[in-house]
Amino acid sequence: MKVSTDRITVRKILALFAVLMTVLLSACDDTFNPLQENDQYYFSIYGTLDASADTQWVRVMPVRDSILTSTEPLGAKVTLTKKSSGDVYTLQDSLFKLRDHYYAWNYWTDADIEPGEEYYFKATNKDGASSTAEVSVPKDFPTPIVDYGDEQVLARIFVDQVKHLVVSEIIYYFKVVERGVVKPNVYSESFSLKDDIREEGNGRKIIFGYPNDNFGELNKKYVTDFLGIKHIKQEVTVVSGGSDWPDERGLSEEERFLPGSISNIDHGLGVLVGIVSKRMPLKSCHDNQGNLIACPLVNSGNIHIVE
Amino acid sequence: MPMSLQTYFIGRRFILLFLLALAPSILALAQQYTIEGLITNAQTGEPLELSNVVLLYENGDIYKGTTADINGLYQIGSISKGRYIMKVSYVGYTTYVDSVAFLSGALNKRKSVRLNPSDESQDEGIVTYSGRTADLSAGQKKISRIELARVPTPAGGGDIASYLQTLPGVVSTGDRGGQLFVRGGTPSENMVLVDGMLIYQPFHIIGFFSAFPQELVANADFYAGGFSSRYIGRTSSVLDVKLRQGNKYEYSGSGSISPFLGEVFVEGPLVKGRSSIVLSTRRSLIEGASKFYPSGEQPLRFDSQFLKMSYNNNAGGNCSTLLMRTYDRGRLDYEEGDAFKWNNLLVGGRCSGLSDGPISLFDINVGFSYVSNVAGADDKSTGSIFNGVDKTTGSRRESNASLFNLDINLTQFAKKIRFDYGVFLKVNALDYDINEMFFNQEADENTIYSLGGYVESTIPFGEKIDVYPGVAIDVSNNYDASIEPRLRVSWQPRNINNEEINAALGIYRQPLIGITDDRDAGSAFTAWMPVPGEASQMEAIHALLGWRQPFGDKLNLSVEGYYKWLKNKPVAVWGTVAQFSTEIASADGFIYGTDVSLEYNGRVLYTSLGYGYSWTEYETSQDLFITWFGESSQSYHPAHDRRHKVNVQTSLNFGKYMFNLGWQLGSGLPYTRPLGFDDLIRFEDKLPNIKGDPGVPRIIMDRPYGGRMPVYHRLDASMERDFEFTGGLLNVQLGAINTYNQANIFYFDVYTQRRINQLPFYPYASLKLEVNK
Repeated sequence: MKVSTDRITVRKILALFAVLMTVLLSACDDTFNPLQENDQYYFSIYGTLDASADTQWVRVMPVRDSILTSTEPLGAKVTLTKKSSGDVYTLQDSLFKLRDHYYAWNYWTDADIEPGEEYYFKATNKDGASSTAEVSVPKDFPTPIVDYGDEQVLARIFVDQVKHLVVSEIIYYFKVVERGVVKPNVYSESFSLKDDIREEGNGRKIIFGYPNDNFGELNKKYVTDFLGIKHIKQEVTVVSGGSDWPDERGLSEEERFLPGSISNIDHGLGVLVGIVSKRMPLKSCHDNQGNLIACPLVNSGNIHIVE
Repeated sequence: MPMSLQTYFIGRRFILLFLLALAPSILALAQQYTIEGLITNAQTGEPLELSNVVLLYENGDIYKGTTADINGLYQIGSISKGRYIMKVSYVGYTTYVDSVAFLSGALNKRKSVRLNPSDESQDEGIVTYSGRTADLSAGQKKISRIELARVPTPAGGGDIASYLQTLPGVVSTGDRGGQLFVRGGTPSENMVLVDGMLIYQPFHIIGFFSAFPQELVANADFYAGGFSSRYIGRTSSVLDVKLRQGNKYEYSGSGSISPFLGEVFVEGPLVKGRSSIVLSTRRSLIEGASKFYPSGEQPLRFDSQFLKMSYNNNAGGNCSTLLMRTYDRGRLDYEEGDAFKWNNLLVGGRCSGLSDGPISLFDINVGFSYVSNVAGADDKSTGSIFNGVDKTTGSRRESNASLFNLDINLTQFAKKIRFDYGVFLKVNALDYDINEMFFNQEADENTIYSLGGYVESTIPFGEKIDVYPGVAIDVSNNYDASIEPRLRVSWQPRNINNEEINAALGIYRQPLIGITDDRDAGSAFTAWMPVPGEASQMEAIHALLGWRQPFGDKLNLSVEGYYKWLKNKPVAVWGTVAQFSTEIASADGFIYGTDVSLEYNGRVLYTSLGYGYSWTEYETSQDLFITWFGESSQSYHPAHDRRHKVNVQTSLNFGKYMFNLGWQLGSGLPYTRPLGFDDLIRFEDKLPNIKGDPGVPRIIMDRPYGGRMPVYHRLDASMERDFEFTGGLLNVQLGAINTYNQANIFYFDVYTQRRINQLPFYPYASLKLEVNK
């Protein structure tokens, strides 16, 4: 008798189970779209338009579906328009492998970027969606004068006619010496001088550097019982930036990473700014009368730097 | 940090109630008799919880009765002078009958009873006291070995891990990973005790299994909330597992094998009638066996070893020592994910027994528990299925935690009021070292000493209501003293067994936090650390109200609602950089929900239908939010917030055949739905290096946890049959996981857009051989 009651109950419960499963499974939706629709950001664009450089390099990457990168061509059209003349330059793509499994598309052009001009940068994807940036290149400025001799502890760099002094640094080029043998690779380290700038009343800026301190830090970092460094040369870079140069002051580390918190790209992410840069040797140059003058500009592109 | 008004008033009321609750114990004691003792299994010495103890008049009418508690302790008080018949019964055991006289001498009589197991039905010998019997607290679930066996598990026996996942309020991350979320709490907020000792990470990397197979478990209590003052230091749930003691008279053993694991179990006497030993070892086999399945190799492995020696003086005194080790390792994302490895080591001893003097029962535990946890990139240099964590890469994470604990628990009766109280000493040593690619190393180590105690009383108000006020106190070198008042009430309105209304309200605090990788659900790494110096302990206030209603002998309905207020809950700082971080922020929040369970327990059929509704919401304020959202705080549903869960469990028993079915459905879990990814290049004080700098990977998102994964559902089935032979039994089981091959997401890596599913249709067979000597 008990067993028959159980059987009736079994049928009822199984029927209930079947109905429940049918209802619930019919409500299930297996389609899964993990990404939110992105109609805000198409490209991530980073770089500078440097009136002092022969070639302009700009990182142009799609805002992509995955953290991983691909070697597949972007199929993007990237152009630069000089607003005063309407001249349009098309940038060429170039694939860089920057670490294991990480590839980046850098676009380049040898178009002449002129100081004081405005440019319109545009990257357009296969679907016709584009990210753009308005870029103002600052006016040119006289080559800074460096005051630094072999016996001097202090380096002074005199900069005139620069409104936004965005970068000032000393770059040290050196080779590693291992157990007395000089290795062929050239390495570089830069030390920012932005924290020690004095502005004169006439608009002149004086940048102070302390190379001896920098040498000490380099020794601390690289020199061991069996490793040493051999200095090749030192250079000074001074950069005047356009008004779009990112101002990160007052932002926390996390805030700097927020999309759009530091960006001048419309419908995209990143920073593209115009600059005029000057690179000089870290040394004093004099005219025939012994007056301090600007040294000739240098180009370090002829030595291979290992990053 | 200032105490909220809510906490203040609740705390005040609790303390008042607690003092009122203690007051009756001071009342005068009448000159009446009391009898108390332990009811144990004669062969193993294990306490027989819920065994029935009844005093009968000499004409056979019931005078008084009670049931034994989890330690086998019973006590009947207010006994008038006279002679009575004492009957002690328990299903599956020979009923004990004796006469007892309360005529002169000591007012408090001690009588422990050892029941012998019996194959014969003893129903006619069982006399049930019609008053209050086995009651459960709000949030409590008693787990027996029989219940473990009903859940289809791809092994020779059931397992607590498989069983817990069938409960309505329990959410798991899937069939691998070993992470359980109870009623909105996180895994590090669960306390898992094995014979009184904490085990940090008891669930194996294959989600069906834990350190507690059916063969080892004597019984377990699972508290989804509202637990008593005895349990201190966790804010979500307690799983208190009592492991089996070996047979003191006979040797027996078993061995089982399935494609998932192999297991050997042996028990027997060391000194016949006095001491016993239990030995068990398990090892997963899925890594090798998965090669024969079309779904591909599963790089998952675990093993565990267990040794327990018990001594029993046959007068209620019992001592045991325990050694347990577990080891897990594997890749949850078996294609290219991180490698994980963890192991637990437990060493401890426990003595309990009846005590002379006013104390009825003492229970002393001493133990050491250690967990080591490592995660990082899989070392692919050897080319095998699993190679271990690569020590050469820059993204290795390691965390170690150890705990020495000494606790003394005592039970005392004052008339009808029962007092449980105790003291504890804990020394926690914690260290972690996290080295994430592209980011600076984070490392720290801490030692925390804490001393505390608790007291809880059981106060009956008439025959129908029991009130359990309690309080726990904890002081430490690392955080402010914590006083945690708790109150539980149970009411059997008609004195019908299992018909009960329960309620609980209490404050729970947790001084340690377990930080997991909030970027995804596919992580098994936990870094243990103390609550940061300036922050307060994590706190939860639990409020529960439950109702259990039997309908006839076989059908039971249980409904329980709960609400939890959370304070100082550590959550990972939101960010857009792809990295594991120990940087934490504090969140407040609330969890509410309902668990409903309908259970039919017939002779042929057992079935249960469970439904769980849960809503978990955190609110956190972080410096970033003003810039990000224009508001200083954000509310969100964390990654384990499963809104609906349905579970159906069915067992059909036809003679030597048994059929088990288990079906689960869960609504989708929240996850962060990105717009896309890019790499941020810094302009700070220098020109960007476009040709050499890859940038820092960044996720572009509106806000975290804005999406929901698809609904999850799965049907598991098994069929088994016993073949008896002289001196043993062979059990053959055929079954399948995910019988209709549903593609359930285990893990979706939003960073790489890869989807890793849980196990597809996975048939299996298992053999289990039991031998008795």
